[in-house]
Amino acid sequence: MRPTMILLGIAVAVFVALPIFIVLPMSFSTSPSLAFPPPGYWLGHYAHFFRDPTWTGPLINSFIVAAGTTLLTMLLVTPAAFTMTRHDFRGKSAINVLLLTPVIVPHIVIAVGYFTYFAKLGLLQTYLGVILAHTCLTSPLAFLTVSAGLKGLDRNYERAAQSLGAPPIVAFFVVTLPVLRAAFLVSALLAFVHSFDETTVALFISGRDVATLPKRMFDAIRLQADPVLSVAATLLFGVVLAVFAASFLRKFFKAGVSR
Amino acid sequence: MTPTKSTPHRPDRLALILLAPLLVFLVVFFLVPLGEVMWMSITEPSFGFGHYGKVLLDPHYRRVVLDTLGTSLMVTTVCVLLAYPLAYVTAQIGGTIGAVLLMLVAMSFWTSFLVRTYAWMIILGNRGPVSELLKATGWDPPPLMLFTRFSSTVALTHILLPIMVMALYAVMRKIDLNIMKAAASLGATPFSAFRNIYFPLSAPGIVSGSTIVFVLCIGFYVTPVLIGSPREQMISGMIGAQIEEFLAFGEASAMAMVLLVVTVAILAVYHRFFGLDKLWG
Amino acid sequence: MSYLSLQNLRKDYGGKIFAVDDVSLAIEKGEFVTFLGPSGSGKTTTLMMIAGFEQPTSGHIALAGRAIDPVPPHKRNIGVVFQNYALFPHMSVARNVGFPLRMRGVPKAEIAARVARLLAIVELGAFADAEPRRLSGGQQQRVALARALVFEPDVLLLDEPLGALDKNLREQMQIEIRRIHRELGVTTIYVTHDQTEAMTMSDRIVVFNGGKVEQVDAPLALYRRPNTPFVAGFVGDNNVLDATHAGGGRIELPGVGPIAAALPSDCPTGPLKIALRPESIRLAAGSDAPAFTVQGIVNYGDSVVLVGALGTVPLKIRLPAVAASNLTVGQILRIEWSPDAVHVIGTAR
Ligand SMILES: Nc1ncnc2c1ncn2[C@@H]1O[C@H](COP(=O)(O)OP(=O)(O)OP(=O)(O)O)[C@@H](O)[C@H]1O
Ligand SMILES: [Mg+2]
Repeated sequence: MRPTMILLGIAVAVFVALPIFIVLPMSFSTSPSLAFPPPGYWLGHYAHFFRDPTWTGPLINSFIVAAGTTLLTMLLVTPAAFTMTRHDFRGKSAINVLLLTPVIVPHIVIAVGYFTYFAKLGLLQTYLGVILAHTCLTSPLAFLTVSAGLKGLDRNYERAAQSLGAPPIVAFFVVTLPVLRAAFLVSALLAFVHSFDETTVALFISGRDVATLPKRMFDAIRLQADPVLSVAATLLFGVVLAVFAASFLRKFFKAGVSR
Repeated sequence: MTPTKSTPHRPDRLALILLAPLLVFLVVFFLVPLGEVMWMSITEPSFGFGHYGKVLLDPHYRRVVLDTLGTSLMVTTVCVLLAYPLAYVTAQIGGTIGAVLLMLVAMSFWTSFLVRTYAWMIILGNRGPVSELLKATGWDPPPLMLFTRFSSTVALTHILLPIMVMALYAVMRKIDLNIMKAAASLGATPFSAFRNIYFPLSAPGIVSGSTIVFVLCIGFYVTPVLIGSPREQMISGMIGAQIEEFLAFGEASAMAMVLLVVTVAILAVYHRFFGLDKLWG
Repeated sequence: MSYLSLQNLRKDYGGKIFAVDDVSLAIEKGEFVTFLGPSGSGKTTTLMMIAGFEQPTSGHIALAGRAIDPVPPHKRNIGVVFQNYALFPHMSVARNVGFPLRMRGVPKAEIAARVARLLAIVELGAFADAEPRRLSGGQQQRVALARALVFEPDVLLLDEPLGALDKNLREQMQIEIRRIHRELGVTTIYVTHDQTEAMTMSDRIVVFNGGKVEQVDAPLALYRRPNTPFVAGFVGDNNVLDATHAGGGRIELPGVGPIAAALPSDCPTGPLKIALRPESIRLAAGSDAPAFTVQGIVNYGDSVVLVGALGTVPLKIRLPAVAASNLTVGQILRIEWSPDAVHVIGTAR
């Protein structure tokens, strides 16, 4: 029973992990088509990618959108999470449902809505439009992460700070925020990565002007699949990996210092 | 002084002020556009429920709906079958193997859908490794795998698998293995202990994992559009095409509403029996 | 008017009963007052209302003659020590203690001096730069104390500050807290559900039960003259018995008959409750004394508690170990007590 399970588990894990390891070597391939394994390796596609503004533009756009989304998400979600974890009031469960609807509604459904709604507001093909839309999509997860942190936080920290003379706002910045650093960081990272990766809504509203990297990739795959795509894919993968590696290394480094 | 109502120094108004921005934001930038979809489905180009009649009755659309449900069912089933042993190893056997497997799953989870879809285009492409392998075994020319229902099912399964693993893992991690030892001490064979004890205990993970995967699958846009068969579209691909190619907002909106209703209905049934808060572990 | 006064405080959390129900208290400047009561009796809630973290549903709080109901916590100038200390984990010991001074904009040099002074008082001068979590429980406790005292608060509130410490450390810290209180003279409210702690530390004890104040008194008065059956049973070991006052100073126990008791002159006639401390009962020499049947023996080393019945009335007796050797279960003993030992609950003596 046990060995069978282990073998099956490993086999499935290989299935899960393998595709990622196909994309990476492709980005170094000398072949102009998608032949795998590649006939040889070079950095030509990377040079191509970084010299082509139709690729670097979207890359930059993605960073702008993800950074804006992260900022706006945290600004909106943090105070709301405070109220939702610290207060009881009528209609609270209904509000909870509202806060989580964006994860329930399929992206394509809301994309249709944004397509016409943002057209009316003049927000189509603008950074602001994509950031607003992405903030809706990232807010539930960020809200849940921050709330979980707040629920786990001993209220006496804030009370102690206030009894010692800190106004509530000061208590938040001087005590709550540093104590909950990890929860805030994780939820900001989630928001960033989620926005950086988001494709469906970006396809419909980012247009040509503020096309994000996923949108540009999607269009390229549809037109003709060339290995420069692998560079984009590797970058998309690399940013996520870097974000998590950074947070992991930070923890590792801190543990090492305090030991 | 008489015992009167004391003046609160921190009115609950503050609580409201903190909550209001997010609420207003979600109403203006989420509920309103969602309402817009609903509105368009009955007013675009003229008022009426004709689009719904068409979407629900027209054999072409019905085919799309059935294909979507069928593919999603297939993907969900395969996900359960593949995820179960993997989750079992990570949750119960643990150790280095478990940790490595879990890390691989997490890495895959955090890799963009788009990247993973693209990977499958390479793997299943006509110059990809699978084709080469088939050619080497004498199947020449190899069958066309890309842009079929097969390729979209494989890619969707691969993309949703980590989510299923996590749902199962969350439940399995809480199962106390001493129960299995107790069963063994009472005379159960490993297999019957597994079947009668472990499996039923892990069933909630299967239910919640399947719910999430199925719901995500029926609404998935990117992968089926890029890698699936253009002749056997799924609902979301159809919605996108209506808008991009035909600018048929009414029909697209009606389909979107049907998709939304089905999604909400499935989650509502889940909520009724298990409670939505359990869905995310 | 007293220094800190609570007037008809009430707190309604929406439960079946009020968490705090019509509590009025007058606390003098420099006093050490203990809130004693079982779990859920409203001690913390009262404390949190004084500190400003909870708003009373009704009632008022005044400090030094000034109503503080509308004053937010950070402006109340009240020091609080929490059960789990709530030391800020990202600040060193000195920065924790200096926190309230920084919040008040005290100049740097003065902060350093005052922090050093307080750390000296709590005997932690050597730990100024330590991280709080590296300190032992007792040390963390003292940091919390120093932090709550360094800004010279008008009132110091301590909510079960020793709850997390082991017995020896508790006793040591009790002495420490008393010493610091003597040294600084700050008005202190101390919450505990440990009655020994309350007895040894306080100037006065406030007994809470079910959100209400049962009695406020000095420790010894509380012990000798409980006002209610609850206080009689909660503070120290006690026998609380139903009795009847037939008039003329004769007290009768149902099924036993008249017993020795010195009643106050204002004692009403009719049914009443009396308290009789187990340790005030002795073995009697004569054979006409009341008969006590031993049903159980609990040996505490220095003393022995006999559980049994006086006629049909259940009774506990505490005897010095020497007087209780070779007693057995089932034995019938003759017992007696001084008439003064009987306290009629609710009367003045
Ligand atoms: N935030 C709250 N919401 C609802 N009920 C509460 C809340 N805080 C306290 N209570 C209730 O109020 C009553 C008094 O609680 P309180 O914490 O004041 O008791 P306590 O005397 O401090 O008890 P303990 O010795 O256990 O600390 C209890 O019944 C408690 O359940
Ligand atoms: Mg308490």
